[in-house]
Amino acid sequence: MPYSSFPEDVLEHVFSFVQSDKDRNAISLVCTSWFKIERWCRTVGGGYSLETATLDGEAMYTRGSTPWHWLPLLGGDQESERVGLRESEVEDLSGNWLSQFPDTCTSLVALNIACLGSEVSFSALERLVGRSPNLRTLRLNRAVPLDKLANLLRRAHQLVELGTGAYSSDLRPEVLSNLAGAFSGCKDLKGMSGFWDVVPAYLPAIYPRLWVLDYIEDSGLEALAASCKDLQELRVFPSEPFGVEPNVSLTEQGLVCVSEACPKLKSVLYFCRRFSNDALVTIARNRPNMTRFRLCIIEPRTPDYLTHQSLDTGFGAIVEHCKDLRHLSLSGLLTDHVFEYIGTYAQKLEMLSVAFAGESDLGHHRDSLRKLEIRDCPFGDKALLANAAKLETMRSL
Amino acid sequence: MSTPSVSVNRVLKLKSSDGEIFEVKQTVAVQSGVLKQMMEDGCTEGEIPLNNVDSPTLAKIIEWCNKHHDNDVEGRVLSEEREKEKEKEKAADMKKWESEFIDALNRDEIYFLLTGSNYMDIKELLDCAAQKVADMVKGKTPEAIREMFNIQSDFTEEEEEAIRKENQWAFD
Repeated sequence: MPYSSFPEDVLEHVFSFVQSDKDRNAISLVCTSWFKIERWCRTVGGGYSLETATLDGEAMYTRGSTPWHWLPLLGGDQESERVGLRESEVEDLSGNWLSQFPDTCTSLVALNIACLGSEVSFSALERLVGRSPNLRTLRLNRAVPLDKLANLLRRAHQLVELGTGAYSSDLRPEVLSNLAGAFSGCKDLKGMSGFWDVVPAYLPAIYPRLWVLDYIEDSGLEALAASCKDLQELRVFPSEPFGVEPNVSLTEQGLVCVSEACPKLKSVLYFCRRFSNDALVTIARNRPNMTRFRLCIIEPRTPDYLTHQSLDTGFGAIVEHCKDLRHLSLSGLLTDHVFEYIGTYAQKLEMLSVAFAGESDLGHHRDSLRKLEIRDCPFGDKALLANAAKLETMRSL
Repeated sequence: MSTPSVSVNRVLKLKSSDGEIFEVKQTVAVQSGVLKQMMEDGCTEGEIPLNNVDSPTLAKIIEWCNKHHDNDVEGRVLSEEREKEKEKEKAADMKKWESEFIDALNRDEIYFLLTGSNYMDIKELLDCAAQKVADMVKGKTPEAIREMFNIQSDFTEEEEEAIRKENQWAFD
């Protein structure tokens, strides 16, 4: 049976027809190649969770293995609605092919040149974007520098998904303000990806939700904090969850910055490798309006890296300050005290989970969780029974 | 871009990876992006080798394209005659035919149809086959998926556990 050797682009296309989280999770556990492809289109590429189903129900799609056969096909006809080049190996393209589109308006809905190693003609790209009124998805390659992005965005207010080009580390205020202005014109933007350079210098975006891999690093989150005042939800996923050593520079600092600068931030999912009680307290004070706080410190039972204490007081501050907290994920070194805090303060909590806890951890906290249950606070017996499935920690006991 | 100069009566000779020759009308072959391009480039003389598609798969692909072509032609006639009801009926029939076509295939056949339609750039067929595989996966555990497709897991136990845990937290 040949399914283990599925071509990647075909497999990605198949995955685009699988929407539910449960099925996507199952897919990611089949084998490493399925995991990688699923991961890629979950957080960066397909963005099926980024409300892109509006594209006639079709996910972005990379055509066959011989793109040069169809490149000249980019006429104004129905078949050129989507142009994708991500996984294809394209070597022999000059940047001029973009001008081969017809001069009148195109019917392009999606343009993806993320895999192109070569530079494209920026003026041709600008003109093409400018005459594609239906363009919803635009994914650039890293050859498109940050200072070109503003001009593209000004021509495409209707964009829903953007994959950026390279993020220049050359910080120039006029580029930043120009970009921020351009982004503010894109009212429909729902998702973004890209961040081609490992250290993105700045992210002058205005998004309600941002899901990224940890390649964004602290520096990227700091830049995000500087400009994304409307950010409501932040999810930072690990690019290498198995690695023992950190492969990126992502710490508590990035999240602290975002919590300081983004008053609308309500929902956080954050994978990282170190945290401190100080940082948790600061975040709690900064964002008492938070309703979901899920911190996943990857190594189980990691203590506060500054004081080497448990993270009880930090999570205690979160439940104390965030009165409307509904979802909470704990991680790191914890003792029974944390459950006392939760019992006392987290009156609206609906889901409590302990991320990356070892078996012994759960056993260790069993008594305190029982107490939490018996004390009828904050869940209530009925609520507890009704929500048994949601209370993942309890279920694991 | 101009439409290719397609002649109703001309046929293309397609050669499968195992050397069998199939004749396909040009009007049918335009459904393949690759063949359409070759027609536009005027390089369809002689046999066109399709090295990634074997003869059983190519036969299936041509069956699909023929059916779609006939359906399109009949659909256009109905549309010109403003037969809205019959048009709807026809579309429903076509859907039914498509699902029966796909359901009749075994897993290997679907796999080769997927890769073949991808290679030949036949979008509707690719979508249909991809949807079928997606439906086969839905609701299954990772173990069941592996068994169904005979895929060996190459995760270490630690890796698998890490992904399981991460998946648990990644979604609400």
